[in-house]
Amino acid sequence: MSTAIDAHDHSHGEAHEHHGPPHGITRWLYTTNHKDIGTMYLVFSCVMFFVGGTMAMLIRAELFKPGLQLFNPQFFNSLTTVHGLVMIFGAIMPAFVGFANWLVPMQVGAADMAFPRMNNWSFWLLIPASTLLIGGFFVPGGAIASGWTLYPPLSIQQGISMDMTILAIHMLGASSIMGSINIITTILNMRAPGMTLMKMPLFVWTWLITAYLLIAVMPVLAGAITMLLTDRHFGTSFFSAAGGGDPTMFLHIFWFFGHPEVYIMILPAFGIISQIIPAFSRKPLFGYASMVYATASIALLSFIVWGHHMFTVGMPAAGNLFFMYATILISVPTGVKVFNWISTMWRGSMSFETPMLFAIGFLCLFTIGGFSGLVLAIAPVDITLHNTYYVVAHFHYVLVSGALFAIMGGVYFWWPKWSGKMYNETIAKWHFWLSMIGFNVAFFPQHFLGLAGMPRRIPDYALQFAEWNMWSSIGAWLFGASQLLLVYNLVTSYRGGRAAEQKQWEGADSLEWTHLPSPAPYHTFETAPVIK
Amino acid sequence: MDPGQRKRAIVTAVALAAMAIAVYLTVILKMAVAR
Repeated sequence: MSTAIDAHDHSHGEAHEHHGPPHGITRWLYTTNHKDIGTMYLVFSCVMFFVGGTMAMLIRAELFKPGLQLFNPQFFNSLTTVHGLVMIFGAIMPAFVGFANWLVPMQVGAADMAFPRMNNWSFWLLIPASTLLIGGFFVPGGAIASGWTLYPPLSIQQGISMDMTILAIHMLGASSIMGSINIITTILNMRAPGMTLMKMPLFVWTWLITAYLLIAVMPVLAGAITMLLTDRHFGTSFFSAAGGGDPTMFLHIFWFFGHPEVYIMILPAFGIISQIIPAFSRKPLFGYASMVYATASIALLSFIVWGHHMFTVGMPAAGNLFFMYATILISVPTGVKVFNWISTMWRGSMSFETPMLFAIGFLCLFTIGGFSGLVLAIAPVDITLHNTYYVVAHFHYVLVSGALFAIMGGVYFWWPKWSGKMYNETIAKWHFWLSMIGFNVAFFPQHFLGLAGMPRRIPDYALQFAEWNMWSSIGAWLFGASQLLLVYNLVTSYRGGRAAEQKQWEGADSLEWTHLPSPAPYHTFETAPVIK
Repeated sequence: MDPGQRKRAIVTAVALAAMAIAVYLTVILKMAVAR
C-alpha cells in the first residue's frame, strides 16, 4: 500500500471553495464532477434496491404458503424476471460504479475522471433504461416473464415489453462500457506521481480488472439481444428453431457474458472488503501482490467456465468435464483471497465497527456461497440440482451476502468521508444483525428446498415444501424491512449527525483518508500529491 | 490534464471503444455467417 508524504497542502480543498458546486437541479443534470456523479449512481442504486426489493417481498408473499394466493403465474414470472434484471443492472452494478466514481480519482490522486462529460452521460442513460425496464408492467401483455436470462423461444414470443427490455439493456450496456472506458483511462493515465500500479489500493485494482471484463463481455450480451431483436422483427432465425436457428446457441452466447458478469458484480466487492479488513485490523493487507494476481486469475478463468450454467442442455461429456474442472479451478484464486483476508485479521488489533461486521459477514456467507457453487460445479450433481431452489440459494449467498453486504459495509466505511457526518453506530449494528439473521433465515432453507427437488420460478409448490418456504418468506421480510434502518440512519446522520474526522478510521491508509478532510471537498487533488 | 496526458487518455479510450465494437460485430457476424 502506498504512503504519500507530500500532501501539497492539506487546506487545498478550502482554497478552492469558490469553485463549489452550483445550486439547484442543474447541478445534478449537467454535473461533470466525479463526486456528484458517484452520489447520483449510489442514490439511483438505492432506489432500484427498493424497487427490486419490493418485487422480492411480493414473490415471497406469494410463496408464503402453497397454492395461488395473490398473483397469476404469468405475473409471478414477470416479478422474478424483472426483480433479477433490476437488481443486477439497476442496483448492484450502478452501486459499484458509484463507489468507483467517488473513490478511484481520490485513491489514485487524480482531480476527476478522465472524461467527465462522458461520465455524466453514462449516468443519465440509466434513467430512461430503468424506466423502460420497469415500464413493461404497464404495457399490453405485461412485463417480460422469460427469466432474466431471456432464453428463446420465450423471449422471441413475448410482447412489446421484450422490445423495451432489449432497448433498455442496450442502453445499460452502453452506459457500462462508457463508464469502464472512463475508469480504465483514469487509472492508466491519471495516477499521481509515484503511484505505481502496485501501490494502488486494492479497490482500484479490482475495478481496473472489472472494467476490462465489462468491455469484453457487455458487447457479447448486446450482440445476443440484437440478434433476438432481429429474430423478433426482421425475419432472421438466429435462435428460432422453426427457421433453422438454434436456441441453445443463445445460451452459449448469453452465458459467455453471464459468467464474467458474476465476477463483474463480485470483484469490486472484493476490493471494498480488501479496504475494510486492513483498516479495522490495523495491519496492512496480507499478500497484496497475490491479491492482485488472484483477481486477474479469477477474471481470466471467468471466460472459460460458462458451460457450467448449461450442463443439462446435452453437451458432450468431454465438454461437461472441461467446464466442471475449469469451474473448480476458480476456487484456487478465490481461496487465496479468503485466506489472505483471514491472515490480515490474524493477530491484528481488531475492532468491530459496522463496516467490519459487514466485512466479516461477507467473509463467512460468501464462502458458503462459494462452496455451494463448487457443489453445483460438479456436473453429475448439477444435473439433479439444475433449476432448483439450491441454485437460488447459491446465487443469493454470492450476490446478497457477497456483493450487497460489501456495498453496505462500504457505504458505512466511506459515509464519513462522503458526507462529513458520522452515522449512528447502534442503529447500524442493529441493521447488520437484523440483515444477517433475516438473510440466513430467508436463504439457508432454500438449500433444503432445492435438495428436496423444489423447482425455481414457480408460484405454487407441493405441500412437502410448505414449512421451509414459510420460514424463507419470514426471513426475507425481516431482511427487507431492516434495510429501512440503513436509509433512516444515513438520512438522520446527514441532517444532524456529529462531524466526522478526516481519518475517521484509525487503520485506513489510502489517500482519501490521509490527504483529504471530511467531507471531501468538491474539487480535490487539482495539484497531484507525490507518492513515495 | 496536461496535453500529453490528454492525448494518451484519448488514445486509450479510442482503443477500448474499438475493442468493444469489434467484440459486438464479431458476435453478430460470426453468427450471421454460421447461419
